Amino acid sequence: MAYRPLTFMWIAEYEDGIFPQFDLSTGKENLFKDIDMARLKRFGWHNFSSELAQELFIKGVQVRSTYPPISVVLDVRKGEELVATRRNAIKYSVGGGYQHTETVYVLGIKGRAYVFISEDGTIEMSTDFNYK
Amino acid sequence: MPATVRVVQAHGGTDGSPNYSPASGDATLRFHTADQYNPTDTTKPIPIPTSGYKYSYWVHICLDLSGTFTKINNVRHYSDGAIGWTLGTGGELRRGNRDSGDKGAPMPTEYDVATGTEGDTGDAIEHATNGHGYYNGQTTPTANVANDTSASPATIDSTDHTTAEKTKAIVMQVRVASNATQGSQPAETLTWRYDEI
Repeated sequence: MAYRPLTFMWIAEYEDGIFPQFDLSTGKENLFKDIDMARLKRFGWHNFSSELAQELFIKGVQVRSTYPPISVVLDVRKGEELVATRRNAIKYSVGGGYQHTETVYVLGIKGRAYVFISEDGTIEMSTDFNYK
Repeated sequence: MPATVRVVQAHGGTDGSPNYSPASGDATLRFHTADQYNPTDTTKPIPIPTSGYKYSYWVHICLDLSGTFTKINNVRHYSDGAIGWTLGTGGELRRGNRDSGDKGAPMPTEYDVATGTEGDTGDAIEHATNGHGYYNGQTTPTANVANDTSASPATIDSTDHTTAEKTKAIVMQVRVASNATQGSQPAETLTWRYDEI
């Protein structure tokens, strides 16, 4: 595969609604850059529901889930800069062969602390953005 | 859908204007004494010198970004901390190094065609006149890839990439000493790490 299947999707929460990475009923993809940061109240990484996973599978997006399902959500206050990213890795061998290996999902406030969520749901925290 | 990120090799062409291989899938990296992507034979190995060092031609390896994404950055590269090749005393898998900032060469502007004598030796990255122009003027122009580990990776590209393009490239080369052991070397695994949202 050209990418690692997604374990978590992001959901941005406003006072009056949500803006998810994938529309929860249709699976339509939204981009992170289209989040209205001025209105953002909370942001989190969430597992996929089985219904959404099926919808995305039809669209060709590979996803997986943890068991039990988990969500990691952060309150974002005025003046704080949200940091959210998928930290991907590609292993390749001299002589041939490559593999997209585990993705770590990162969430935090710039300059303060960061949460690192592994695909198996393990959660670690650090003040070092490049901790993992 | 996540971005499509492929490992590709820049080769041939002219300075600042390389060819990229492969056209699809990820690159097969090999070190030898020619500027050729993934040769199907072993006719141009790196000879063992009677004294001093012989070098592979340097190779530019970068990430090819495409698909849907908002931003890709924080591109790093590392080994498992040991390159298990018998390259002799002072032999190593090395990369181009900058005294400060990103260690990667911007592509394609800083692409420098690999040079040397085919079948004998490549030019050393740090060579004052024939070396790689992006690195050979640095105080420490090369670094041992074995010292780049998951805990302390080389930052290749800290730029924010927001469109389909190539990242900066790691420029690697093998240096072989006179007491190296002859023969094909075992596969070694290297790792790219990058952030995507």
